Amino acid sequence: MVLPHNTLLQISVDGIVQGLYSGISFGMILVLTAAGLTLIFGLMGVVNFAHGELYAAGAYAGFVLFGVTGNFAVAVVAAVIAGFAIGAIMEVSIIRPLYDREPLYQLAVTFGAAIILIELIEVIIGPQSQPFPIPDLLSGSIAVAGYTFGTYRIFLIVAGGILVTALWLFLTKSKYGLIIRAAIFDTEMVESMGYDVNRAYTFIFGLGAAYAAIAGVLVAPLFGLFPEMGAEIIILIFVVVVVGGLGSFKGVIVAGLLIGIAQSFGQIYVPWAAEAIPFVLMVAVILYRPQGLFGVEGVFTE
Amino acid sequence: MTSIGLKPRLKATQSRFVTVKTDIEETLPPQVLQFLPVIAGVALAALGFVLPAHPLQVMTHIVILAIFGVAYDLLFGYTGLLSFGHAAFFGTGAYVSIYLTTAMEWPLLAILVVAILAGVVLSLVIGIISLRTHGVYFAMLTLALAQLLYIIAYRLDVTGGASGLPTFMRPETILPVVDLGNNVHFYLLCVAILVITYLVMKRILSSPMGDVFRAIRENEERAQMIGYHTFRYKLASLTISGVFSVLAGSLFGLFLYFASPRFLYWQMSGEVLLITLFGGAGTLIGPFFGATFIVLLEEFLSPVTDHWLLFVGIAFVFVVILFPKGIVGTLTQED
Repeated sequence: MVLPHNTLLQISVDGIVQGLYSGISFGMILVLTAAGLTLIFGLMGVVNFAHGELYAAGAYAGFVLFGVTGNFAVAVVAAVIAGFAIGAIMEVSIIRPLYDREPLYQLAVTFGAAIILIELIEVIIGPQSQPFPIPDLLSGSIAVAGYTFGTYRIFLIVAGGILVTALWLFLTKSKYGLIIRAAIFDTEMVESMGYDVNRAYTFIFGLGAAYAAIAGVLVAPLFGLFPEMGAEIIILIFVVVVVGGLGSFKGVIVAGLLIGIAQSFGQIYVPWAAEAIPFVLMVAVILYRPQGLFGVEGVFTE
Repeated sequence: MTSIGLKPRLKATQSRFVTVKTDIEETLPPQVLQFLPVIAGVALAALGFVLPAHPLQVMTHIVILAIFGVAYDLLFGYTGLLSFGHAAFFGTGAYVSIYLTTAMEWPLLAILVVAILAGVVLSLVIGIISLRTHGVYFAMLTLALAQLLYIIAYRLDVTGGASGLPTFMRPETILPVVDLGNNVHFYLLCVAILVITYLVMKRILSSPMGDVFRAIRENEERAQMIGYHTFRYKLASLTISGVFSVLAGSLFGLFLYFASPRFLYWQMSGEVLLITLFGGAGTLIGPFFGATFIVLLEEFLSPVTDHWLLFVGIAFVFVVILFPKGIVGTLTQED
C-alpha cells in the first residue's frame, strides 16, 4: 500500500516543479512586457494599447533577421532596435498631440495604432503563423536533482531577471534616469535647466516599447509567430497591471510571475479552464483591492 | 523596489473630457426637434421600400451598428466611461437570438425579452466588477472581461466553438403579416428599434438622471461631493447601454443568420468606439453617421483589399487626433 502513495506524491511534486518552472519562465515574459507598459504609464500617464503589437513587432523583426543571419543575438538586437524605433515614432506622431487631453483619448489613439500595426504585419510578412527555432546553443536541457529543464526556459528566466533589474537600476540609480523622473515631476524646472523634456518622453516611450519587443523575440522560439500575438498578449498584460497595480514595478513583477505560474498550473491540473484562470485571479483581486496589489491610490484615481 | 509612479501629466483644473458644448437641440427650433426622430425614422423606413436588395442589406447593417453606437454613446459620450469591452454585450445578443431561434424556435418577442434580461444580468456582473475602478483601469477591465467571454464562447460546444452558431431561418412574430425572412420587413424592424433606442436615450438624458450622468462625465468627485452615489448612476448608465447593445447584437445575429465569437472580440469593441468617436461622442445622433462611415468603408474597400482594417485604423488615429468631437460635434460647435 506504500507504493501507490509514493507514486501519487511523486506525481504531484513533479507537477509542482514543472508548473513552477514553466510558469516562472512565461511569467518573466509577462513581467518584461508589462514592465514596458507600466514604465510608460508610470512616467507619462499613457496606457499604450499597441504595446502588444510592439511585442509582435519585436518578434517579427527578430524572425526576419534570424532568417537572414541565423544568429539569435542579432535577432534580439534587431528586435530592440525595431521596438525602440516604432515606439519613438508613435510617441512623436500620435501621442504627443494628445498630451493636453484626457488619458482616454491617448488610449483610444493607440487602439487605432494597434489595428494599423497588425495589418502591417499581415501585409509585410503574411497572415499565416511562422515557426521560430530555438537557437542551437540554448536547445539542450539541464538536469537538476533528478529533474530535467529545457535550457531555453532557464535562459528566459535569467535574461528576464537581468533585464528587469537593469531597467530598475537605470531609472533609480543613473543620472539620466534621475533627469527623466525629474522631468515628469516638474517639466518646467527641468526644461529651464537646459534639458530637452520632449526627448525624454520619446526616449521613455521607445524604451518601454523596446522591452515589449525583446519579450516578443524571446518568447518566439516557444510559441512561434502570428500577427495577432500582440493582441493576445496585451489582454494578459492588462490583467497583470490591473492585478499588480499600474505604475508599480513591484506589482508588475509579483503579478506577472503570479499569473504565469497560475496559468501554468492550470494547464497541468485543469487544462479546460487554464485560459480563464488569469481573469478569475483579476476579478478576485479587483473585488478585494480595486487599486491592485501594489497600486498607489493617487495614480489609481486618475 | 518602490513605485516609480509619479504624477500623471494632467492639469487638475481642466475639464475631464473634450465635450460638445452645444447639444444639437439648441441649434434647431423645438417644434422641428420634437418630430425630428419620427421624421428621420419615417425617411429611413421609406428607404426600405425603394432600395434594391444589396443596398438594403448595407442599410440594415448601418442601422444595426447605429443602435449599438447610440447605446455606446450613453456610456462613453454622456457618462464619460470608456468601455473597451462592449463587444461582450453585442456578441451575447447575437448568441442569445441565434440560440433561441434554432434550438428553442421561440418567437421574436420572447427572444427580445430574454435578450433584455441577458443584457441586465451581464451589465450588472461586468459593472459591479469593473466600476470599482476608474478611467483606464475601467477600460482595461471591461476589455479583459469581454475577452473572457470570447474565450468561453470559443471553447464551449453550446456556442459552436470557433465556427459559431448558424441559423437557417429568422424567428416568427406574433403578427402574421410580418415575415422577418423578408429583408424589407427585417430592415423595418431594425429601423423601429433604432428609433425606440434613440427616443429612450433622449428621454433618459433629459431626465435628472441624465444630468447626473453628465455631471459624472465632467467631474465625478464633484458629483460625489454634492451627494450623488455615483457608483449607482454609473451602473445604471452601463446597464441601459448594455441592454441596448445586446438588442443591437440580437438583430445583428439574425441579420447575418449567424453568431460568431468574432462578435465578442476586442476589435468589435474598437469598432463601436470608432463609430461613436467618428460621428461625435455625446451627440446621440452622431453614431448613425459613424456607422454609415464604417460600413461604407468596409463595403468599398473589402472587395479591393483584404487589409481594409488598415484604413479603419488610420481613420481611427486621424479622428482621435484631428476631430475629437466627430462629424456632428464639429458641425454643431459654436466657436
